[in-house]
Amino acid sequence: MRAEAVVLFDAKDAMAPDPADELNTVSAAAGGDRGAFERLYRRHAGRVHGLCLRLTGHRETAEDCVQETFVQAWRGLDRFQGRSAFTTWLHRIAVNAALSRRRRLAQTLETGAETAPDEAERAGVDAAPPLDLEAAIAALPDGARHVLVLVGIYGFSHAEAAESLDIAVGTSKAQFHRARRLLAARLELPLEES
Amino acid sequence: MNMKETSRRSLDQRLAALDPEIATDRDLWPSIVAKIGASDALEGSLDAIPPEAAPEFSAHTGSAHTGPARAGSVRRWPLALAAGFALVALVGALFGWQVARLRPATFASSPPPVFTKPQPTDRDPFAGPETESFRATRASLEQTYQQRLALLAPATRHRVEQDLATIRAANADIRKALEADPQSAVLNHLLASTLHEEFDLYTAVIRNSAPAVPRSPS
Repeated sequence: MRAEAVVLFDAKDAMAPDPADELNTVSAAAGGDRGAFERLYRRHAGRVHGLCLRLTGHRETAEDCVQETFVQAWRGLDRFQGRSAFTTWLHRIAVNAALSRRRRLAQTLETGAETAPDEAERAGVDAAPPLDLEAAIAALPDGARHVLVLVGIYGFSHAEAAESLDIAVGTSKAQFHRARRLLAARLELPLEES
Repeated sequence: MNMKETSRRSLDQRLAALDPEIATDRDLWPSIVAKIGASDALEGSLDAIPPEAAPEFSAHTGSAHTGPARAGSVRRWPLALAAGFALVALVGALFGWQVARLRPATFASSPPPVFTKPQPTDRDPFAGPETESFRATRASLEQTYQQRLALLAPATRHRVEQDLATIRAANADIRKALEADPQSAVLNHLLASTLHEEFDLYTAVIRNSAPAVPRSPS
């Protein structure tokens, strides 16, 4: 398992649970307390599902991703050492699960993970009617969408996103810029090229 | 403030305004606890095994598990590979049905699968872990599965039943093998894998026979 990074999501964790309570709950779950683990599930399932759904773009795959995330979390709780927020640790598991399932889904549908960019890029440029933001994000090419979701919505730094996605930091930044450019075009927002 | 900054800020604000949480359409906890139950049952069986005979498999393999507060890892690869090869049959058994689910029009003409014929036994070959919560969860899932199964097209239903029979046959075979070698880590892992496959099949049937839900995250 990867080394844990610094605590994340400060800005996005306004609704985060009390850290002490979270730590106690995690400790209890790590000791085998199924009730404590259910509390963690109830607390984090929505966020994990949001992450999985936005990364995979497929509702059923996202539900599988949520299940896999929590099953793997249960199995790996003894390895969680509290150096990072539990949310961060959990989200890393979710990202791995989502990308793995996304790849399998792409293979099943015979659509390769990066076959859509050109179409999406054209869609962003040619754009017919403006979409809502979620739909526009869902239509982004995989690479750009993954970075945008992690960095733009879930508060990952580019370094963390790059590590999670197994790409270079520069690639993460480039994909983020690309995602913004495509979104701006799709949503008909003016955006000058840098 | 130039136009670029304005539009970017606007986009950032829109992104920041998105709710990170999206509720699931159904409660996933029962399925999760069922899979955890299978893991715990496996762990119980492995607790009796000397550490050198009970390697800790990576959770990323998806085929073996360790519960929290469990440690130990010795010689993972040989056993992991063996377990992986043995699971190919189970995965293959479900693959046909998954394909049929995606392409129902071509399903009826697909050749019959090469599956192990289920062997009759004088007891429930799929008793599962001897824990009350596991049995209750499994019973609940199976009840819903049986109800939903009746809603499927006959050909699909037949295929699902074949797959379940294959899983249960594998479970029975593994249990039989365990009688001769109860401390085999590989067999215990394979046994737990059949439990996972069963729950996955129940979940797939229940999910795919449910009323359609919106696909957009928005």
